[in-house]
Amino acid sequence: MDFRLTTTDLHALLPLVILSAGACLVLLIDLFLREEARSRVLPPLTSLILLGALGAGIEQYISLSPGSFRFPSERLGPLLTPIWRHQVFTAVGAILLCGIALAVHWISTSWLREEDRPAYGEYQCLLLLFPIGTILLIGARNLMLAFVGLEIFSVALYVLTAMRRTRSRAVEAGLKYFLLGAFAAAIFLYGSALIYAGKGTLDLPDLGAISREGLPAPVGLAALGGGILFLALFFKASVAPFHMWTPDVYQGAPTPITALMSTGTKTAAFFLLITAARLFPHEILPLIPILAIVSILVGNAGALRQTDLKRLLAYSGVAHAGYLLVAYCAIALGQGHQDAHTAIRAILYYLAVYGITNLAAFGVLAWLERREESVLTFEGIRGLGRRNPFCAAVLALAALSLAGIPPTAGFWAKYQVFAAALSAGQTTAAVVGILGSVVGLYYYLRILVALYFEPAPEEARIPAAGFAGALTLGLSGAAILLFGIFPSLLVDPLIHIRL
Amino acid sequence: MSDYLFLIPSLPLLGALLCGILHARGGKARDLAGPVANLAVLGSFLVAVLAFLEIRGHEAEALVYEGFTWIHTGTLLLPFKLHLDALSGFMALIVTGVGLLIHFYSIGYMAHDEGRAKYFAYLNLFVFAMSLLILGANLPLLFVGWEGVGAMSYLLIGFWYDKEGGWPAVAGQKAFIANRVGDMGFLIGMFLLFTNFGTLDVAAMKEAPALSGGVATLICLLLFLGATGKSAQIPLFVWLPDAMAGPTPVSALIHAATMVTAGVYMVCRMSFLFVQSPTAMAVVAVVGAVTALLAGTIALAQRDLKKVLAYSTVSQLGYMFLACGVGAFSAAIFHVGTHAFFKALLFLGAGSVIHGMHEEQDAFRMGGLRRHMPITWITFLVGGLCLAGFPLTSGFFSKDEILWETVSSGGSAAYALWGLGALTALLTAFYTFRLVSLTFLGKERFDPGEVHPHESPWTMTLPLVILALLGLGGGLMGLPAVFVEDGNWIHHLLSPVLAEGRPFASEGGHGLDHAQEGLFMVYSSIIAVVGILAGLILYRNGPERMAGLAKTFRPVHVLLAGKWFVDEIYQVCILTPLAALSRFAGWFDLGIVDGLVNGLGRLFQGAGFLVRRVQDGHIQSYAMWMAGTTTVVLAWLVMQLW
Repeated sequence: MDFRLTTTDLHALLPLVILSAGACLVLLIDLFLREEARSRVLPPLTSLILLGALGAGIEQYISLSPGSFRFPSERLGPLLTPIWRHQVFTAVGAILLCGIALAVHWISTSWLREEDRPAYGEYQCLLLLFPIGTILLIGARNLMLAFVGLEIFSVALYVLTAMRRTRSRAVEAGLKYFLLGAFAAAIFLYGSALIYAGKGTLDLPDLGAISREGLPAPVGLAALGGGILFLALFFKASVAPFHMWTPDVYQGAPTPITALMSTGTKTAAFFLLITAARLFPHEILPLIPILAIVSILVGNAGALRQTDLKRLLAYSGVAHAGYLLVAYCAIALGQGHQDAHTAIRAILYYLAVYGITNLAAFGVLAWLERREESVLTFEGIRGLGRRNPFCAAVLALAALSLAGIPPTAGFWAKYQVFAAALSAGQTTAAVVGILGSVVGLYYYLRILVALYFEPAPEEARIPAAGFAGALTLGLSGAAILLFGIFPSLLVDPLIHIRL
Repeated sequence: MSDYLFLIPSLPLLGALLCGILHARGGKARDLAGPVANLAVLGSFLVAVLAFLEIRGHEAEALVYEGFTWIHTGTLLLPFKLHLDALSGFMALIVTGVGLLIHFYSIGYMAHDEGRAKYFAYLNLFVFAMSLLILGANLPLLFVGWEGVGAMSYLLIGFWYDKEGGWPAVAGQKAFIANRVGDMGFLIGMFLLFTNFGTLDVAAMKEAPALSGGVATLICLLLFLGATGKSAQIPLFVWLPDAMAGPTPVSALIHAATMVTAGVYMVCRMSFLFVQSPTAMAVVAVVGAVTALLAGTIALAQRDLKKVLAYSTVSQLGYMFLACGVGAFSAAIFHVGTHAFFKALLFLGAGSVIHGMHEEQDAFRMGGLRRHMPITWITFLVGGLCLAGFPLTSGFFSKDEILWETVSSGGSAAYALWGLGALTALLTAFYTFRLVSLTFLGKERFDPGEVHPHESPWTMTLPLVILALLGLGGGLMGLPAVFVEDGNWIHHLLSPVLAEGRPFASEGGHGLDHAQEGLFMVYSSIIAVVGILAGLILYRNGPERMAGLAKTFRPVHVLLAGKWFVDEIYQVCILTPLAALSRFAGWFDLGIVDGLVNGLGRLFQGAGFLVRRVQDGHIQSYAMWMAGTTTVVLAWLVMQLW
């Protein structure tokens, strides 16, 4: 076997290299610093590492886009070729996930300061491990590599969830997440094993093979393995009925970590669902619209009666997984290349918008959160419009975007998803999706009512947010509006994703 | 060079803006509003005169101003295009000319009103909208003006919305709603025109081939419905008498001289279409004649000075539609012109009387005012003679032309229509001089200790004198052939623009000659003189003399004084069922529609409750759910695969 790395290989792995080196560096520096110095050195360092990885991802995107002068030479060496996808698809994933991690890092700085025992080094290191795992998952051309990535980010999340060891709810959430996650990992591995038994290979197919005619459908053991793998991914994407962990874990985890879970995990899971689409047997595909409908109904119904905002957003996340599955129907059941292409773009667009929107929403919640978590209820945000107009405006924008109301980006995200499903003939799922979003209006608008139409409680203190947190909120709020008014700003870059 | 056309509407618009600013400044600044508004309309009038002089001599052509593209969507292309031909030029002269006199009169009339700057802003906006209505080269632009004058009419009727327990506001709403009914017809007519012609440009439609009879009839009737709303004809005339709640100059300008004639103008503008449908023409003629008579009878029994004049306006508008219906469009416009002079004169005179009598409007409580208000008395008398059709006044010539055109349009139907018109003429002469007698002659029926009638200031009497002169001499515009061969200047002016059509011509055509025209003129004169003398003699000494008569024919009197109870009939037949329907719709919406929606909501709330029950927090049950689902799916998959 040839173990030599070419420069192209290094270029392809650059975001991962930066992140991994950075994670080690953070841990090392943490050892040699005193308590006060950590809070001054580590957050900027982590920002720098994430910005570097983000920049590397963007550079990859540019050089891989058609028309770039470096395009012809971007061939990987013999070592990476069978296991890595050096494609715009991966670059987009890297950009999304580094961006998410950066935003989470920024909204957690003020939250960390409120903690009893801010575990700077560990927190930052684990935060850096998350994009490493997810990018591995997205770029992998081989199921084993994907599994390694899956475990890297999952384990990081388990620890991050239970970070606040003294709090029983956090520990409970971490344990639940870990146990059910281990269960899902076992299912994933079992499925992979059956696929290997059936086909003798763990290769994930090319993106170009995603259209229905591209590859022969798996049969026999490989088909059974594909079916099992399929269910395991739904756990990560919190698709009903594999969503049970979501509300409890979202509620118990530190709010920035909830943001990371709700956006990053879902993004990674759907990227893998796209690349693994040809491993699934045809027999199981009719299940996708059904699961989409179930998720939409369960998510929206569950959110209706919630008073805790994090649980509400958890259920809303289940419903959004359902909307994404509606578009996924077009990939799995559509009639060819064009349908699949449209659907992939719709899903990526949706993931980006959902990421921005959820970061905005959880960012506001992280800002408001103090030692008592009772503040993250409808009671806690009453009259916020007068107490803190900036926070209220960002949260209101996020709620409108989640509800899919123009002129926010969420409208275009929903529109593209449903349009993709309709053009692929998935009428039932699309109609249920649209009706479900009508139900969703109820609880999203409840947030707006609480923000602006209810009197503020007496003497409610709003903790000061750091500059980074405020910047994140401002940027995501602006992005929600910007991409809502000029959707082509986000649609056009996705055109370069080629099948 | 006809770019200056845009000045006609835009000067009053500018004036309105300035008046609005002056109103906002308040205090002394509001006194400036009158002069500003007058200057704006004066400018508009001068431009209209200039434009009119330019098209004289070659009446077939028109001045066109094409501005920006207003609407361009699909196949519909609507430029902002103004169009001044003989018809719109004549109308523009009337609107800006009479409008100027009434603006001038308003300076005195509104001098002490808090809202005078707002009043002049509305009045200027009205002139703006009215000139847009007249000059608009396509129907949607005309419709913008049409709606604009409607809105200003609404605002000015309700100008004193807080007086008399809010009655003016209610009257304004009534006018607006009645007009909306007509507008619906107008709009549907426009839609049909667009589907049939593919354009809404009047000139282009005129060039297009004729429509089939049924479609033309339908469109004409829909357009005419719009006209009955704006011009207060059966069935939508009920709003105009109530519109007198507004300031009297408004009644003169909007509800007598100009806006209410917009329906007549529109029918004349679309005359090329109306002549394609004899049925529609017959409907127009009959509605006009019947409205004229009905309103004339109601006017007989009214006591309120302005109410009598309002019903006489409805009646005179009926004459104009009668003329349109028999194909004598130029006679209709002639009457529009003369009527604008003498009716504005009568209203302004009435305003002067009301002003001098400290807001008293009941003619029964006046009398003998000729001694106190000499100028008002003389000018009102002139206006009354015109309205009554006294020989050689302008009203005589225009009304006589309509009656002559009616009777000469052929057939027995023509004689019937002439009969209605002649009877109305008799009634008109009678109630006009009943009013003159009650107001100015006889003994004073008010308490001289309390009320001190006085002549109005010169700003109010000067327009009266000018209008009186116009009323006396206006007939020169359209001398009949009996007097001077080819003396009908207005007919020559307008005939290139208006369509020719004789709906009843097949039954006999122009069978009557000059000698007979002279004969009918004598009939008209006799009718007018008899009516005038009857009114003067019977009411010479106040209303008591006729009280006995009213008692004898009590049912008739009640019917007439009660305005044929049209309002009450509408209340019972239309408004009550409509309110019931609304209540039903409200119940349906709240009960069924909302109930359905709320029921669905409750269903989801219940589902939410269920989801929460399943979510019990036990990790064992979560794992059970996952394992259970996985097992079921796998079992199903295995069954599918093997």
